[in-house]
Amino acid sequence: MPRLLLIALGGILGSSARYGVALAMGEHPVDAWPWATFLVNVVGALAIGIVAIQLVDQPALRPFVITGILGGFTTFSALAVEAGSMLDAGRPGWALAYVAATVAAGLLAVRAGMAIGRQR
Amino acid sequence: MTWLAVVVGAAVGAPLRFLVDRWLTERTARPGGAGAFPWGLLAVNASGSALAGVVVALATGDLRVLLLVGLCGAYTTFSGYAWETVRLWPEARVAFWASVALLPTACVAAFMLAWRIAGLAAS
Repeated sequence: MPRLLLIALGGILGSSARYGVALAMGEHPVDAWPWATFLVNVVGALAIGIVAIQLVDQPALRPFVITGILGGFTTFSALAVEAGSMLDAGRPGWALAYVAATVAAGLLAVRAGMAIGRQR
Repeated sequence: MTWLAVVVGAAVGAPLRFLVDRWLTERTARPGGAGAFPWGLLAVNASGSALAGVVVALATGDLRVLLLVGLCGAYTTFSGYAWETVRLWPEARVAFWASVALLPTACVAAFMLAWRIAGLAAS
């Protein structure tokens, strides 16, 4: 299958899963911690660490799994919308804490995923 | 069927991210390959955040879901950003800290700017 089509299919699967998580966790008020986005981004970062190590010898699967599914599952625009809405609501401390916590947890999750991926 | 709106947006957003990221990454690659700041992911995440600002200001209903959750959500990526950033440490510390601090700041700023401008244009 052409690479762009595989990426589109993976993106549909990953984005649908992200939308499902958001629906399952429900609407959150503008001044609440955006757990749904935080969760998909950190879980997606853990998964990319595992999968990138595991798929080193299978380059054919990488566009579908990494660029498609995991790229579609995680999002930066929702992070920007939520942090920007916190700034707009006069909560710059919350916005900074939210972005910093997502980035820190995401980077640690990638490292943890790489360690898990190397073990098997 | 709001879910279909997510599907349509994601079908466009994910391949578009791949094309823009690859186009920029090929043009900003460093000799030897490693240690380059992820310009491609800065471009997709900042432009996707700016588009999200326009969508938040102007779109409602299923169109908003299609563009915001589907298109912008799939076009931008956090997992790719985290992966590219981790790979910079410890060989390219300046690029690593720039990716940690400046890239998210640029995305939030791009969202705020686009949101304000689109909001003014709509009012």
